[in-house]
Amino acid sequence: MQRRFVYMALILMLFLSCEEYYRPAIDDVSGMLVIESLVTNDPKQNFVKLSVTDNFFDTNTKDTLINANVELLEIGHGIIPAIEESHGYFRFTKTPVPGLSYKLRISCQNDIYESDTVVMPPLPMIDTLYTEFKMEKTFRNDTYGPVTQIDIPVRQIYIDAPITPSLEYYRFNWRAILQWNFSPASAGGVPPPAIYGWLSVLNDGLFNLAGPKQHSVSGKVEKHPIMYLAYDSKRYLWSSEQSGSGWILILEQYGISKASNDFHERLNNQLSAEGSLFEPLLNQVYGNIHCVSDNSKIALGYFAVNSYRQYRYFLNLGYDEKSEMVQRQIFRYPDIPQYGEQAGVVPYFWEN
Amino acid sequence: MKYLTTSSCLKTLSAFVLILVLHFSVSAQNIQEKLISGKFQKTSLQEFFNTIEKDYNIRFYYRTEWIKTYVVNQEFKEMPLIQVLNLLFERQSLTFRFFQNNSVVIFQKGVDGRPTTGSDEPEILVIGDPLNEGRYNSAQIKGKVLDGKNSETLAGAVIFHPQTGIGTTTDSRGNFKLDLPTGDHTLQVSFMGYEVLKQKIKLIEDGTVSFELFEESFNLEEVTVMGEDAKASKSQMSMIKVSSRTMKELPVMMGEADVIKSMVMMPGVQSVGEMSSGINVRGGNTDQNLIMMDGAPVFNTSHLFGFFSMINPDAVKDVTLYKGGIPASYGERVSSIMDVQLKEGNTENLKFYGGIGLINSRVTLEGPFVKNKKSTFLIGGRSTYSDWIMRQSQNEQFINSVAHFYDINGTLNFSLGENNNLKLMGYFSNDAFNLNSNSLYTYGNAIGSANWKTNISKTLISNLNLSYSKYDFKLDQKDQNIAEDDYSLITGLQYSSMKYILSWLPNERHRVNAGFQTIGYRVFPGKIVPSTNPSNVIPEKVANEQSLEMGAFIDDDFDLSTNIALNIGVRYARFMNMGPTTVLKYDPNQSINSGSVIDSTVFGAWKTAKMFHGIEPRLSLKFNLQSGGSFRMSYQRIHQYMNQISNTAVISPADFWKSADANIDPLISDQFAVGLFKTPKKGLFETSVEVYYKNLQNLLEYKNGALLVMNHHIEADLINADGYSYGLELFAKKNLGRLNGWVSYTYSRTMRQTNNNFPDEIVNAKKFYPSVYDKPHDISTVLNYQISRRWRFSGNFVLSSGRPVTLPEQKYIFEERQVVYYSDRNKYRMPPYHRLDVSITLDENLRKKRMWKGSWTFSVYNFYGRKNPYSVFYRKEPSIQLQDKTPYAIFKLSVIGVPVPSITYNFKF
Repeated sequence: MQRRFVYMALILMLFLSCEEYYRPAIDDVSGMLVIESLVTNDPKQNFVKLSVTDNFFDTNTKDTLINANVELLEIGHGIIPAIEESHGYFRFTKTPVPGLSYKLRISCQNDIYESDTVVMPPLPMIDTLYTEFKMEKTFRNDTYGPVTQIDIPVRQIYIDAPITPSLEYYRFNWRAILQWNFSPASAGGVPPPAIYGWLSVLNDGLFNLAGPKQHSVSGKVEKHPIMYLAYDSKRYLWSSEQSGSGWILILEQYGISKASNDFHERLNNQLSAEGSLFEPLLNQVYGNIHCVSDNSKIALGYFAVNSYRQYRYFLNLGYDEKSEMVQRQIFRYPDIPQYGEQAGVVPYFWEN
Repeated sequence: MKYLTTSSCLKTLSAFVLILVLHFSVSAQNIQEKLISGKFQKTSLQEFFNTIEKDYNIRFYYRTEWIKTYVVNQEFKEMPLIQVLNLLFERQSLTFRFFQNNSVVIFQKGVDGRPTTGSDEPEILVIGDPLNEGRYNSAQIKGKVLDGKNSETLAGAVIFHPQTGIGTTTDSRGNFKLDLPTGDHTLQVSFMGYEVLKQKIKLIEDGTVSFELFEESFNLEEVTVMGEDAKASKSQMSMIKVSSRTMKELPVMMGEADVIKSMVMMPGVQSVGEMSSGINVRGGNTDQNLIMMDGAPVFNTSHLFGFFSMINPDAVKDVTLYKGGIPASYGERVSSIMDVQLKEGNTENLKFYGGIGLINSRVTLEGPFVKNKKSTFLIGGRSTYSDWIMRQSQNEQFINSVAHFYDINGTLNFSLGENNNLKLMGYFSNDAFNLNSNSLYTYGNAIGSANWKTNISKTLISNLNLSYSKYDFKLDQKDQNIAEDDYSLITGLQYSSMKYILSWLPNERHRVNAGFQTIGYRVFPGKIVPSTNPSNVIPEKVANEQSLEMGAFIDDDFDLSTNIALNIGVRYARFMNMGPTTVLKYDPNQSINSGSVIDSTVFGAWKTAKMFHGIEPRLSLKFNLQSGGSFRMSYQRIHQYMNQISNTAVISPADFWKSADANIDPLISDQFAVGLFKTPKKGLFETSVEVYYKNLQNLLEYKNGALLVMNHHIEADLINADGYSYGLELFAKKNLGRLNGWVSYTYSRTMRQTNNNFPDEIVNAKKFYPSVYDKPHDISTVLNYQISRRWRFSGNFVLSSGRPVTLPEQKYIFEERQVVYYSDRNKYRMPPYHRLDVSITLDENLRKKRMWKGSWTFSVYNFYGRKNPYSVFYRKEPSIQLQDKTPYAIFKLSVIGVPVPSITYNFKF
């Protein structure tokens, strides 16, 4: 009886709110130019993508981009042209140099767009990568059931990185590749070959940003969380006959400017909006690219020249927190597809 | 020998007759007062009569068969005959009458022809000793008139005797005296808003009596004229007065009456929604209302992030809200003045009362504290037990959460002679809130005031108010991983004021008020303090602000003619932003930001860094119409020098205040209103139509991505804007009857515009756009029904336009994530808001003599479970099955999406 009373009071106080999908009537408006750039010292990450916005409820993407031209101005040194490898996708022929200043210029449909001038930071580095056991609390929001809390034993991955006068902010991206294998049952005779497969877990959530903590004078990025991996690899696999064989963690570190950090923070604010009662009024996320030929036109997106470094680690978590864990940095960087499998032959990138 | 003339004989005879008559009348009186002694045991009545006849020479006339069953078993010791006979025939079917000077006639009741006034009241109140019935010709009734529910005295109640036309009224303590002939009467006892009591009495001799009246209707009314000694002017319009009783009757969330939210049922007053602190009056921001308790302002008006009002409803006497026509004695805020008057304490007896609810409870004790009962006190408090409730839960989210508040309030009222009165008030509150996060929010108010009223002479009254108000907020922020990164953020505000008003009433037609006010502000915009030692956190502080505001005012409230009343006033307001401070000068050709600073000036302590001043005319006019009712108009100009900085839709406890300074101009408002007011059917109904227009200069808007917390130069994130509001308010109310209530409809618009030239200071391309408080349509309906003396029902229904909202209009992919581009600010509107609340109350016992009185209130807030959207937001939600298969969607959050029942037990001892 007492418990019923307690829950009734709790329901009255905290469970009164509810949230539901909402589809308002929104105006159709003309599209705006979107500029996505990833310009780094890595030749594979040295491009600009141009696109056009779609109306919010449209399911078909507009394709109205024609006759666009992209170039990178290396201040004091010349122009680096971009080659359009596919519709809206432009790759630069030369990588930028740390310490130099750059500006992006785009001409599109009789308009000229230019970015602010940005400086490429020095190459980034991390001091160390380490892991800790953690019980991750998540909430499962079933379509057919109530919200339930789930506790998952995981290994949380952290890094420490330096903060210097010339480089204070970082952005991290990662891909964790789970190696798995499977030995098919034999029907008699020569057993079929083992299957070696892999799948990727990507960072498609918020932008992972690191830098000086607000109000803190700590001279480094300390115990910055990157991501976590569950001990039970079967959470990622689709068959009980598959067995995990360790993880390859690809950690991408970008050295970014404060302006770029602030821009990505604003994006994170937008992406993480929970409808909290006291959230600030919604604001636009404007970048640093402007239409110089027509002030009234808005360009979305951001231009930054980032320094880049990649780290790879092999991680074998064991079964639980009492198991011995293997962590080893990998110094080879083959291309690894997102997922796949092959029979009988261990993939070329396989780690043990 | 002299012969007697005829005239002299006649004179002599007349004198003789007169002497005889007098003798008889004296004898008649004497026969009543004849003292009877004797012991009679089981004596038949006939035998008793025979004894009296023999011993006292008194004749008895009767029919034998009437008295044969009567037996006398009494001992009389010098008891007047009238008392003896009254004792013998008390509650019997026989009665008596004296005849001539030596006889008594015995007869049966109902045939005596004694005059009665024909009342149909079943109960007869006997005043005096029944033994003395018939002994006196007249008597005086003294007594009180009380509220039958709470035994509070009713001043100004009328006691009327229709037969003779004699009547009187109760004084300020509810006392009255009335002289009437003895006998049976019916008195009419009445008081505005209460059922008329027709009480049959048998008046025998002087006596004391109490009459109890019960409410017939609610006291909520759009009051435009008050009593003779009231503060409101004769031409006052746009004023609302709510009594504490009315406020408690409205069905509300969790059964707890809310002073602030009860105002939302009136035209022109709105709120952003549930869980919102404060109110919006005629489209104004929440910080444009000056809410005062006994003259001291309140800066945070809610507990638990908007769940409960911070003002204890049990301590409230009444609430007055000025929406327009604000008197010259008030300033500081442009939209409204809410004057909450707290009770002084019961002058007669100690009273203890309170309420027990599901989440919180409250108690109050009041009464006189000196023997002569001239000085009184009241002390009350509230607290929640939500923390205990959450700890009993098995849910980890709740076990690790904190949500509680408490508040204590008290008043002391000293009656210092006939002409002086001193009232002291104190209030203290504290809130703590943490919902399973690393951030603990704590905040609190400390408020005090002293009011000294002096009647200097019959025409001169002086009022001195000293007040102090302090608000503190603290956020304890714990880092998830590094303890050395923990810190606390502290903000706050202190307010001190002295206000003096001299009222001069030279004659009935004039009332002149003059006075001055001085206000001191200290604002603490923010301070970061490390929580651990050692710590990675550097202590940081945004410079405090100190300022002084002064006001001098005068107004004259007078009758221009029998049909025209006028109030003309003016207030001079002066504001000085003081040092120590550093004032930055920005390049006028650039947007204000850290890169456009061209100069700076340092001001020492108490040096004036910036001064503002202005004249604030106030005018109101009433014109009585031939057809009944009145036409009114008002104009006011007000400067506001303090603004609350908040870029959320709802005010939160973390929001801080900012004074006008060299880079932020004061807000200026001009409001003009006209209205028609009528009370048809002799006050049974009340109707009004009001139209207003308000112009606002120097509103504050916020730049995109404005960072407000710990911002040392917040002017760089603010945008100067202008705006206007206009509206039509319709109101109709039934004051009396078992069924009563009101309906109000408001059509209003509130628009804003930024008029700057720099790109980051332009919102919506300089076009006018609706403010977040813009709600074009608003309907409020309140219905009350007194089912019986102990049962009453109350319901209210509200319907309003949804508030403006900014929605994503376009989407695009950026670095593999879907990002949106929002529409113009406040371009869209949320779905309409509507809600029905009901409550039913049972009073346990209404008997006056019963010490403990309790009542049960069962209420349902949001009766049909309307999911009124509180906010609309955009979020990734892969589990939702969407037709268009996009992972992101728009959601709406309803704070109260289900019916909320509650039970509250209120008691009084």
